[in-house]
Amino acid sequence: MKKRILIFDDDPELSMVCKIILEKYNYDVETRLFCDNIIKEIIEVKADIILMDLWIPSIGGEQAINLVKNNNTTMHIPVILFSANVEINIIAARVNANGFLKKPFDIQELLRKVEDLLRPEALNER
Amino acid sequence: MEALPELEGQNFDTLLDNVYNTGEIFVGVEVPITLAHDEGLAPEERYFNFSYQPIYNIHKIIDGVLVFGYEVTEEVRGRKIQKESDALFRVLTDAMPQKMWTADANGKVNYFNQQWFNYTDKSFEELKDLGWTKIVHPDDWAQNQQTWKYAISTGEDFQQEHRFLNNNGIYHWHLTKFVAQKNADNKIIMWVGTSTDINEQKLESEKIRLAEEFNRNVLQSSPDCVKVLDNEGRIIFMNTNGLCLLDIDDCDSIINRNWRELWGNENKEAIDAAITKGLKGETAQFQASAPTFKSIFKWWDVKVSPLVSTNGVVTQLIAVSRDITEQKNYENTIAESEKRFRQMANAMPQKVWTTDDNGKVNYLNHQWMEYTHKSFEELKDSGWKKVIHPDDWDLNQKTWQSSINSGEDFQLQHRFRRYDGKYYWHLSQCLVQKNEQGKIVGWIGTHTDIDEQKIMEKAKDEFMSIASHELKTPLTTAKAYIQLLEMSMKQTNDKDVVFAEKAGLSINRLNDLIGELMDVSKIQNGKLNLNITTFNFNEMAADAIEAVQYASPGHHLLFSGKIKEPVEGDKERLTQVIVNLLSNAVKYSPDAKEVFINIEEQVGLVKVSVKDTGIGIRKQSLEKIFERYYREEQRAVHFQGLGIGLFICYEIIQRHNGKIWAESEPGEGSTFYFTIPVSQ
Repeated sequence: MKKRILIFDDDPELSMVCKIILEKYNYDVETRLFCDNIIKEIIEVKADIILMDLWIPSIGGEQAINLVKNNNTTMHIPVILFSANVEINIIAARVNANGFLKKPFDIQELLRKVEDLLRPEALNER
Repeated sequence: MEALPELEGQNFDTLLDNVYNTGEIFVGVEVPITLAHDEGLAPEERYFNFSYQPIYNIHKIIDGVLVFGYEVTEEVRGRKIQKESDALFRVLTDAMPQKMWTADANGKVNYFNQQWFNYTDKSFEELKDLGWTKIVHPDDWAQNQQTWKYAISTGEDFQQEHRFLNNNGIYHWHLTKFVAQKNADNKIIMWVGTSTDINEQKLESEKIRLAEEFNRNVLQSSPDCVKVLDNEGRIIFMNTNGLCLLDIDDCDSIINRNWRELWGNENKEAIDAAITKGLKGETAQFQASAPTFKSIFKWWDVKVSPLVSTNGVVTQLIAVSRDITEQKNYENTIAESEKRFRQMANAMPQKVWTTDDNGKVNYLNHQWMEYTHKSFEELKDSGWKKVIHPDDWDLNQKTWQSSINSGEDFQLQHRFRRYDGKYYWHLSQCLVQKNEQGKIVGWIGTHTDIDEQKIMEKAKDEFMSIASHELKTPLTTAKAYIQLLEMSMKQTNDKDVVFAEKAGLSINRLNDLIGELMDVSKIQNGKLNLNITTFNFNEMAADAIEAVQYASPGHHLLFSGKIKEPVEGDKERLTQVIVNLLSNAVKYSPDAKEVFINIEEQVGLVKVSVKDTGIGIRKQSLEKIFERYYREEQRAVHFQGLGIGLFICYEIIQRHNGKIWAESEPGEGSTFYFTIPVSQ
């Protein structure tokens, strides 16, 4: 069964290219421009992994990840934070994100991170 | 015998018989003979010199005795009296405490009393004639001799002081008086002298003399004007410095003048009061100004103290006047400068304050009251603390305390509450005031309202952040699409894939430029913060080299050296520095094949060098690359060739407490170095 990726980014172009790439590599991809009702969205989509933009409206990536990580149903789902912010590594560690990508990223890097986090061992560690 | 029947029984017949019988001549000298008194008084002893000489007849038979005699009673009696009087004289002179001596008319000493022998442990034989001269102190000898000679030649009585050596080898001062004994013809027949030991008196008076000299020296050496006044206030002494201070050339002109006359009328009361108080046995003090004798106005601090005699009466006064003109002028200057300071403080837009050495506020300028609508009474000491924003209070407290501990100036940004309850950001600059001994005497500070600046800064930060984000978002999309394109072109073996690759490199370059712009903005705002971790420097360097190598296939990056320990620092930022230096090396050695990078450890330091064999840097530019001001002013021009990357490298290394520098020979190439401590 295809793994399902849920992307939260307010830039539709970026979401689109990510979707194209990831689908090429056999993932199901859903995109959202806002992160309102995030828990509901995640559950509905049945996301296996989440890509979260730091500057996502309306509550921002940091708070959104906090919500995900503090919800029993969603806390096990890996989250990759991505942003152009140079301090993204620090922010990612702060909110317990499972990984980060500094924009602009190589698509190889994107694919590798997603793949890594979806490996059964990686999932079991959580 | 018939004529002088009292001779019976006085042995004369025996003597005569002896002459008759033996024929020996008898000579009697000063023979005492008791004779009856002419006037019927008791018989008395008289003295005669006489001789019994036998007279021989022609048969050589003694038939008579020639008696020849004369009376010597007067002489004998006189001598006897003399002898007795001599003995009495000796007893008397031995009994007196003084040393006594007599000398003949020529000054030859012929008698010493017992005191001399006791004092010197010497015999008469040793002292007589000139023997005594040996016990005179050598320093006194010349004077002694002169006096003697003069006395002998004139016959006048004399006295002198000189020292005699005693039996313990110590010289004692003596007062020697000598008197000439003259006969009826006024001719000197002898000298009589007494020497009195005056050593103790002499020492005592020496002590007094020293004490007086000491006092005089003290008075003289005082830098102040010291006067001794009699109980009327007349000057009986003034020290030399006093004469100088008062511009008095002639000391005599001041002696006996009343001290009051030296002061102007306006000070009359003060002087009179001080003298009156002094005469009562109390000390008085006052400050007044008066002109010197050359009409130069001076300020004086005057103390009048009584000199009390042993019976408790104030006999004299000591008046000490200290020239405090400079001090007074200084005080006036200070008062004026303080006034000027207040005027300035009130004229400036900033809030100004000062504190005492404990940090208690003791001055606030007008702006403070205006801003807070509080009075000085409310704000002073610690009252100002209430206007600090509660969120800023900890920082304020900490900064203050550290300045109190270290004695260093400080800067602080915090918010103050205005009278209407609104808080505004202020920049506080506080300078420690120290005295000459380096002790803190207070703080002086200004608060500048930087609220608008703060808002602008915040807006700028936000703008930069948004701009960066907004620029990078399409870049990310573009990069992803180009990579996608590259991937599919590679799959179809499309040779034009090289164009897609070039587009990708340009996007990376664009991304770097945006990053650098962000960094410069951060540096300017002082917000380039490091994220310090401990990491493997060798791996970090290898990664950085790999990244540059990948982008620079035309050059060979030769890596040497190793760091044994883990290093503390911002891994990302240090990577950025190495990438930057390597990229520059590649960029500025277009014809070269190799770039060298070496890392090594040097006592607690990591040293990195990046060497190229490229075009090099001109000497005048080389000197200025890392010069802060030069760079600040000339940055645009200066870094045009090198890129702003070097400026960022400098800042990053600075933040790591490290050093960065370059060596270069135009045409030969450049070597860039940096060092950072192994642990931060």
